[in-house]
Amino acid sequence: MSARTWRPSPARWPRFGRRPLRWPCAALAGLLSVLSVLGSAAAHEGPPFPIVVDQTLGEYTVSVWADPDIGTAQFFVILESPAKDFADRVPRVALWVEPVSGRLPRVTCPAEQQAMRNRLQFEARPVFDQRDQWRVGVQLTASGGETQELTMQVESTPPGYGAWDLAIYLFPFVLLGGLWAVAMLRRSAVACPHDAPIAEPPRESVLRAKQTAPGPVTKFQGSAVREVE
Amino acid sequence: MTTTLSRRPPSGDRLPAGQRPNAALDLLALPGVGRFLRWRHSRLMLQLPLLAVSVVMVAHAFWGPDLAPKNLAALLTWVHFRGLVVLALLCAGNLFCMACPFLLPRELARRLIAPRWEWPRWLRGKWLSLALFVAVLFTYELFDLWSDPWWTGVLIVAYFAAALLVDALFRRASFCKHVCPVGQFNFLGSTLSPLEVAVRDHQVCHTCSTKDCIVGRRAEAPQALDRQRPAGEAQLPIIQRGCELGLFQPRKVGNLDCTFCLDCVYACPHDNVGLLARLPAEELVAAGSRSGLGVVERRADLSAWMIVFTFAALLNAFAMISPVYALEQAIAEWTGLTVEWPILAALFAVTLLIEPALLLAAAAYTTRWLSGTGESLLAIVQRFARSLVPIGFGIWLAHYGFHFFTGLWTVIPVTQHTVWRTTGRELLGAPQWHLGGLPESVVFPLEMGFLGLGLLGSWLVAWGISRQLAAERTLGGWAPWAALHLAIFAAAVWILTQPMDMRGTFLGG
Repeated sequence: MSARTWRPSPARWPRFGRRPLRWPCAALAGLLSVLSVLGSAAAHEGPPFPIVVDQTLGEYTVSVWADPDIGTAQFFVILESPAKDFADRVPRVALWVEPVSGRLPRVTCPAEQQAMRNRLQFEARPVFDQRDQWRVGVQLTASGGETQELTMQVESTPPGYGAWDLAIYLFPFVLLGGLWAVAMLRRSAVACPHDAPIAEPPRESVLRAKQTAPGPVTKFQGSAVREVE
Repeated sequence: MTTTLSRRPPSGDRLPAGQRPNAALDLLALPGVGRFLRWRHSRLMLQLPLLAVSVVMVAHAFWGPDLAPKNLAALLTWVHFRGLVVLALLCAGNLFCMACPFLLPRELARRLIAPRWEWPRWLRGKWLSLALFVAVLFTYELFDLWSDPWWTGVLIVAYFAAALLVDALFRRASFCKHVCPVGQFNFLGSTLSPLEVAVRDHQVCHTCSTKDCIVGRRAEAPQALDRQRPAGEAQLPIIQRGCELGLFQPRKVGNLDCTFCLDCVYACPHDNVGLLARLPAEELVAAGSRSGLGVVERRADLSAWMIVFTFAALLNAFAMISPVYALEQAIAEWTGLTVEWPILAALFAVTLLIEPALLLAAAAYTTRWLSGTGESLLAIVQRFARSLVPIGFGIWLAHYGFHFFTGLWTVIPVTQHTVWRTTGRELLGAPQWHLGGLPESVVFPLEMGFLGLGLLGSWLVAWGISRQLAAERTLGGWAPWAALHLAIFAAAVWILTQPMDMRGTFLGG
């Protein structure tokens, strides 16, 4: 197999001059400026987290997950039971909330059953007016009218993020993006070594080489290989 | 006789740029991690823990709790695995393929039975893997896989079985190269990685006569065997594989199709292959033929993968926010359909076929008009399809990063709970259910940062491609694609600011 001498072919590799990339960088700078004032935009609803897990309540094992944002909060009540037919006997679920301080009266809201494939899950959406400690109760009313209750305490939390949070956490990305763009800018039009027209070995030899399973360990020591003749 | 081969020719400093030895940081030259990776069994050492975790996940999927947030199979698959994969791609390279546990059973099988067949010619390329990728996304949405540990377990087992079956029957890394949708996803993502398996010094490759990096190395022939006969040589056992994905190191460009298996590193008799630092995304601008791949910008299957990779990122994130449920409900009421799959199929068709076709055709048409190029619309689309990868990867990062970071510590209570349920004792302590993840105020800027970097990468890549297309009217060629990238970015920002299901960490659906 002949190994031909090769010459770089600059046209095949991108040239990033300083001037031409002004447009991408200017556009990105403008976009980042817009993003930096996005702090007041709508945020994700906070990630729900479990506040009660596997509490026994009558025949059910109850778990409650909450996303207690100020404004409309979300509570998820999950019921499990060892009984096979428990999904056929769906209890009525309600949820009440009241400030621990007692500054507001107790408010009860129904929990609606969600369409889940293999479990009983209910969702309730109480309203929290401000950051505070809240007492929360989950009521299960069986078809026979028997009611059982589980209480817990949770703190309502402000949703979303502030503009400064966004700016601080975005800063590393701006820095990284800047370095990346500069690196691209400074990348001169060097030929890519990958363009080397070193001929690949004939396909037959590759095919032949793969026909048996790998065997024992090769000898590989440090930065050099010992070949034993 | 024992011969020690030197690594680089002494005259390297006088060579023109491009022929000089690569001076970039080489991970294999570092103490500790370099020494470990150069050890031939390092891949096995990475695969074994992942295989053990996979076994635990499968067991928990079938015999553990039905609730996804309390089940390791659902939690680790849909929250931690996906997040770690994309973060590893961003920070290092294709580490999941390097430590892929799916290949261990096949390695075992190949020690017993040598594969006999070549992968069918009509199935070569990326079309099959692309179809499987879309199929997995479709079933994920249709059957709510994130909330169903049992079906998640079935998916894991099916993956192991498919890898074993394909590679037990077909030679080389047929599963990795032609079938595995996760692998193709990783290949595209790794174009943005800062590390690449590459040749240290191309001059050494010029003088190499064995090409072991692709051919592999066989045992020495005994004296009795006539070494002149190729047939006789072929019977010798392979002591070190070459690249099973057909990447010839001196002509390899970037990370596409590279599993980071390091077989080429072990095979090279000159110790001339390293794990080198490089500029992320630069390979996406490179034109011309690449070993094992051909000319990327002329391969319809690769272009289709890049397009689907990007628009599926939007679709996958879109499918987990509240507006999509309202949309599906509205379509159901309008059409009278009572089953979900036709509605979901229509959503997939619009997002992965119709929308990209219209947007890309419009961008290509405008590019042709503004740049004055005479290329066909399809050729322009195939050229610029590479520029979609960074923004697409940014969306995947933002989406999977959201789940990963907001559910970061949930694996702790779930593991504690699993140990308690399995042994009846709290060997790891009582489940700390209060452990969740990073707060929203931290995760949202991270998402925006990933998206911003993706947009920047797409613009830079599009600029480089536009210069190749029309050097005199670069701006005209670039602007339509920059506008498209910005539109995709805006759509992603809108999606990520919607109320979002928590999937594995949460009981939504």
